[in-house]
Amino acid sequence: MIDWNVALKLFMLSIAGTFLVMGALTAIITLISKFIARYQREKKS
Amino acid sequence: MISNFISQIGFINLTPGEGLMLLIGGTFMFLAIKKEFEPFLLLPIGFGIILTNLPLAGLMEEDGILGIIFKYGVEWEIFPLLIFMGVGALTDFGPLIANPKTFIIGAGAQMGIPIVMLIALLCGFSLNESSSIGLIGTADGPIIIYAASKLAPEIIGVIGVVGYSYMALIPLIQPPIIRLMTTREERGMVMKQLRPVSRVEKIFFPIVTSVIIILFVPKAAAIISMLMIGNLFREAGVVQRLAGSASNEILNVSTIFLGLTVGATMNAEVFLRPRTLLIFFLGLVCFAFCTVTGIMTAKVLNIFCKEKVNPLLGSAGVSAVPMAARVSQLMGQRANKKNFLLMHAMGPNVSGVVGSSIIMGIFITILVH
Repeated sequence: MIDWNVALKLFMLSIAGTFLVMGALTAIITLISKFIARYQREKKS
Repeated sequence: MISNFISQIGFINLTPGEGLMLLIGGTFMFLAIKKEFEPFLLLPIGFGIILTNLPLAGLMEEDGILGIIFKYGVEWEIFPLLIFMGVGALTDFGPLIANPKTFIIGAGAQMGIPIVMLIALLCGFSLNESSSIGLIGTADGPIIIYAASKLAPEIIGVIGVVGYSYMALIPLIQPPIIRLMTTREERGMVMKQLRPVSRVEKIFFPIVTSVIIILFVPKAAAIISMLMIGNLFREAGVVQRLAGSASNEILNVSTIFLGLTVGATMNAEVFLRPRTLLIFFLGLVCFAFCTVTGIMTAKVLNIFCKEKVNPLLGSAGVSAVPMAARVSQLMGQRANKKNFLLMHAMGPNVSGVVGSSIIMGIFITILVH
C-alpha cells in the first residue's frame, strides 16, 4: 500500500528544498565573489 | 565419487538464465571496449556480471572475494564516497563561480527526479525503490549507488547498471529532446565570455559550499564533504600529491572494485525479471525529464534575468560530467558556428553535481530513519 501522503510531501519538499539550498548558494557565492573582488581592488590601489 | 565430481562441474549446473546473463555481461564489455561507452565502469561491471553468473564459483557469497569487497566497500558506502573525492579533485568549479546563477539551472535539472519517483510509485515500486529509481536522474554514478545502498539495496545492481548505461548514452538521449524544446535561434544564442575566477574564490568555494549544504541538509554530508575535500586539495595548490592521489590512485582503485562488485550483484535470479526492464525504461524517462526541466528552468531564468543564458545550459544541468556539457556545445555550434558554449555549459554541469547531492540528501533525510 503506497503512502501517498509521504510521497507527495517528499515530492514537494525535494523540489522546494533543492531550489532553496541552491538559491542560498547562488546568493552567498555571488556575495563572496563581490567581496573578494572589492578587497583585491582596494589592495591594489 | 565420480558422480559427485561431475555434479560439481559448472557446465552441468549452468542454467539458461545464467547463460543469458553471460551474454549480457559480454555485451557490456563489448560496448566498453569497442564503442568506448563509459569503459571505466562498463568493463568491470560487465566482467562482474560474467563472474557472478558462473555457477558454483560463489564469488559473491559471504566468504567469496567479491562478496567481501561488496560488503565492506559498497554496503558500508566507502567506494562511492572515495570516487566522489576523486571527482572533486578533477572538477573545476570556476565556470560555476563565474556565473553563480547556473546553480539555479543545476537545481532545475534535478526536477525530473521527484516526477519519476511518482511515476515509479504508480508502476508498483515501493517508496524507497521509487526514490532510488528517480535518483538515476542525478546522472552521477556514485550518487546513484550511494542512494541505492541507503534506500533500496536489493536493486542496487540494476540501478547502477541502468544509471551508467544511460550516462554513456547521453549524446543519443539529449539531442532529440533539446531540438523539441528549443528553436534553432535559441540554441545559437552567443553568451558573453566568462570572467576569470581568482584562486581565493576557488579556495573559498568548497569550504563555503560544504558548510552551507551540510547545515541545510545534514544527510548529504558524507557525499558533499568528500566532493569538496577533493576539490579543496586541487584548488589549495599546496597539496598536489594529495590531489593527485585522490584523482588517480584512490579514484581508480575504488572504480575497479565498485564496478566489479556492482556488476556481480546482477545474478540471473535478480536481473531477469520484468521489473528490471521497467527500471531500464524509467531510467530513460528520468534522463528525459531532467533534460526537459533543465531547459525549462533556463528559459524561466531568462524571463527574470537581464543577462540571458542559452537554454542549452539547461540540458547541461543534467550532471553527467562532462558529456552533457559537450552535447550543449555541439548543438550550440550546429545552430551557430560562432557559438562556443562549453565553458558556459560546465557551470550548470558541475552545479548539477551539487544539486544531485542536495536532492539525494533530502530523499535520505525523509526516508531513512
